[in-house]
Amino acid sequence: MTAVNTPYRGCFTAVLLSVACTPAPDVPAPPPLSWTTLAAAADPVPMELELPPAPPSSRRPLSWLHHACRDRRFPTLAGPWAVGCGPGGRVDRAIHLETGQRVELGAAADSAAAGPGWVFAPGAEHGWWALPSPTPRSPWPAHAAPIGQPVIDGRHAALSLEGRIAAFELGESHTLSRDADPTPWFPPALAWPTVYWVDSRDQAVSGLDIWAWDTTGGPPLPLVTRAGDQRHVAASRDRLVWLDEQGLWLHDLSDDTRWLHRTDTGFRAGPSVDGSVACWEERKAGDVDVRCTDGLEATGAGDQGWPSRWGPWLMVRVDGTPWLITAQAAQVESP
Amino acid sequence: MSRTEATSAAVIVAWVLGVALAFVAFEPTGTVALTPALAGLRGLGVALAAVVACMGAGGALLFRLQPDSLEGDLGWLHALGLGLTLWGLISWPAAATLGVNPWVGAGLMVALAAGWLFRPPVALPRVRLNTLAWALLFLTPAALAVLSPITDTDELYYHLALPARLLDEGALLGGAMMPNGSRPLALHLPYTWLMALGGIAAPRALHVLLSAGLLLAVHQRATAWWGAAAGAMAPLLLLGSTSFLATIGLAYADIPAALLVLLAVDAGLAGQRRTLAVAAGGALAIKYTAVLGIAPLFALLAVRAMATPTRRAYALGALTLAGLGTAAVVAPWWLRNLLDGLHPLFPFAGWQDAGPFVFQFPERYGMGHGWLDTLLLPWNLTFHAEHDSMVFLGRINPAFLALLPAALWAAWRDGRARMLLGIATAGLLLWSFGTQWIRYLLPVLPLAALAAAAGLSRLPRWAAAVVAVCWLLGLPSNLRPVLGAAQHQAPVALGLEPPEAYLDRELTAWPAIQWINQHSPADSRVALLYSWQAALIQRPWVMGSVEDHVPTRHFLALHGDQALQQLRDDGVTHVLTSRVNFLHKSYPFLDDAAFEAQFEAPERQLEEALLESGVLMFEQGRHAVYAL
Repeated sequence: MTAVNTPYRGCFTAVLLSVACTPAPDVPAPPPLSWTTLAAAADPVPMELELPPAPPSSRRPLSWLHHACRDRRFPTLAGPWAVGCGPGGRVDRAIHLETGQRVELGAAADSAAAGPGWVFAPGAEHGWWALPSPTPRSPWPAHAAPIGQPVIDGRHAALSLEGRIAAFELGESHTLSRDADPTPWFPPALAWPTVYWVDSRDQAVSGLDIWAWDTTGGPPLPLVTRAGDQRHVAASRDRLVWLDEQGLWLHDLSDDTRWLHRTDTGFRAGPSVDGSVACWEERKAGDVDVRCTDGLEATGAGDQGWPSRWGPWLMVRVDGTPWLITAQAAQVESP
Repeated sequence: MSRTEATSAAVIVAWVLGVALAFVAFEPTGTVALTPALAGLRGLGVALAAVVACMGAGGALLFRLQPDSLEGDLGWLHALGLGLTLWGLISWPAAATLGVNPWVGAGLMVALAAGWLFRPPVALPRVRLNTLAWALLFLTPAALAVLSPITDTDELYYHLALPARLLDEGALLGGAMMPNGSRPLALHLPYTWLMALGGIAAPRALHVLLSAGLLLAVHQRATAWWGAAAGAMAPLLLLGSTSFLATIGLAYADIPAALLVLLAVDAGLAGQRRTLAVAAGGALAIKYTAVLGIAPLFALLAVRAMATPTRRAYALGALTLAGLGTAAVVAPWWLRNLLDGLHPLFPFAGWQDAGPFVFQFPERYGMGHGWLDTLLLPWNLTFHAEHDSMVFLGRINPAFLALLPAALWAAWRDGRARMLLGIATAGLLLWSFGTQWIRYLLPVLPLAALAAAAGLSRLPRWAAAVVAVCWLLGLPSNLRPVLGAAQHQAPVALGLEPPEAYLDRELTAWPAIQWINQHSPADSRVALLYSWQAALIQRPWVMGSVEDHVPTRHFLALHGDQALQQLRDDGVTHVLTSRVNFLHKSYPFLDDAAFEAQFEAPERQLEEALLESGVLMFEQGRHAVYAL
């Protein structure tokens, strides 16, 4: 057991002292994607993932965000911010988890992407909000409507379009894109400079697959084409996570090792991954809970779902009401 | 005309057609795209062929059954009505034995058209140019509707969904998993054949042609009976009413049923009892709401027979035979349900095996069902009806009410007007006991229009002009929903907007439907729970529910926590569902416990079942797709 690694070193103290916690700069980007790395990663035998015991934690409801959102993936975390909806169900508000600062966003959106400190809603009337600014910046010049929720890492964004996958740098008007068959609704994942997404092109052969595209060059390539529906891909720095009928898969992009946690998941919400920690929904005997690779969990009576993780914080909804669970001790490092 | 003149005329006609086609083809702004126009022309061609075939078969049969029905100015329409009824009747055994496919549809049309071999004396109606101009003016929105993709709720869940599903399956369907398939298919099997041969435009075009036939018949009868002013007013009363005008371009059943009710009344007034029997049976087989006109018609004919000083027994006997003939035309559909182990009137009789599930809650519609509400109906229908709310779900022209005193005056003096007003009034009364949806009143609305036109004929010219002003004042409110829809449909109907963009704009469920069509495995089978957009789903589907969502609620009540497992056992792989969030205020006649048990609990039950064993694959807004 070791203390949590980058970039939250010092955040737990900050939480206890109720001062702002700023993430450290990004870790170096994962190695570029190529046929060589893909061949090496071609369906490696996964290691079984064992979960550590749950660390002590506290929990509190986030009552300001209790309104149901039109996009059920909200409310969610955007770094140290929790982003949610008003009475109309549109994404229009954010609250800072440490300071309690509340921001009402201008130009509310039906759906959006949340990244660490950022909210992004495509469309001419929207753009991205650098929280706590309530005003969106630079509307993305959308030539086609996204077919699912975009993804944002604070510097870049990626979107699924009809027959294409697209990525761009925030503030730039130039968009990179490639032909693809992204499956609607499932958002892409971003571990810059690589974009990952759920692809339908070989559905008749292998079900839904995970594809990847290194935006610095080269064509999109299949990454996971196992039988079954690989879906709900998510990424953070050098970790890639997806779900399928077997359970939760973690892929370390730095050394192409894989772990599998066998469980019944992927039935509703996607996983939330932050650095080395991933959280997911799982169901057993009609009960839905949330678990994380560092042992943090949301269990008990009722339906705990829609996990969103950032640093020590895990946001879930318990029977529809958003709750914030905060890990109180140093976390176990995840694989 | 000499040979030279004829040749010259043919050359000039070819030149005119060439100029017209070239104008469309080379139009620089692309205002008229050929794709929807060609689809519309194909549909119209198939529908016209069906009308000609029906008139051939109907004419030949009528010539032997009741030749005097062919002699009047509505002979062509009686032939068409009989042919349409015959088409519906023979479609069931043909579909049951030969399957549901384009070849059977084409074969049936050829068989019907063979009636022309017997050279029935069917004279086509003469339409004056100004009548045609009026029709074109009012039917333009209908033309746009014919050329548009399917977005209308009733077409989505039933009128065009069922034909598409039957063609996909290649066989008849029905029962609890496909309740709409157990309704009488006297019109929907012909719609199926038309769709097989001419796409979705063909059944819609047939509906336009039948509507035009009804309007022409109303015009002809009113003109012949009460003069030119009445002849103009009768169809305008219908065209000036949203509930009539809004459905002309859609493949519905109300106006075809109204047409056959009108033919039954026409035959009843003329004492043509065999024609009466077939038309009345055909009307009921197309839509049971035709009973609003058929029951009073038989009752009044019985009263008239009773009042006959001589041959009373003969008159009553003949009427009884006509009644039996009517039942014989509609009975095959009852028999079909009995053979399927269902109530003869399923699904209208409700679902009984999981507690009482009624087909509809009549209390939801209109402004009340008390005796005072019934007395106030003419007033409330005119002034409070709304096209988009449960307050009668429609709109009619105020000239109906304005002409009521004149119609009463005419009824006092004129036997025909008395009969028509009597049937319309009795129909209104019967309607008031049930679901007060103006569209369900359409089977007797042409009779009411005729009675009102009779009243108009009693008025001096200046008073008739005042009535025309009243009709005009009622027009904006009645045209608003129709023109609004036309405005939405015009770009896609003219080919300026892709159908997908139109569907995305008009249907909140379109992204979920598209997910199914494009991303579910080709061998998927979809259950529509709390959703109804079946006509657009390109996979085999079951269930489908709208409004009170009875089939879904019944299925959940019947199978309890095994509902999803039952669907899996039935081969269902995916579920398209919507969050309805039923409002208690929409069911004020249910107490808290009943509302909770009948509406809130089943919706929650499904949500929990899907969370327990479904896999959410797509969600947008309140529409979601689950894999089972």
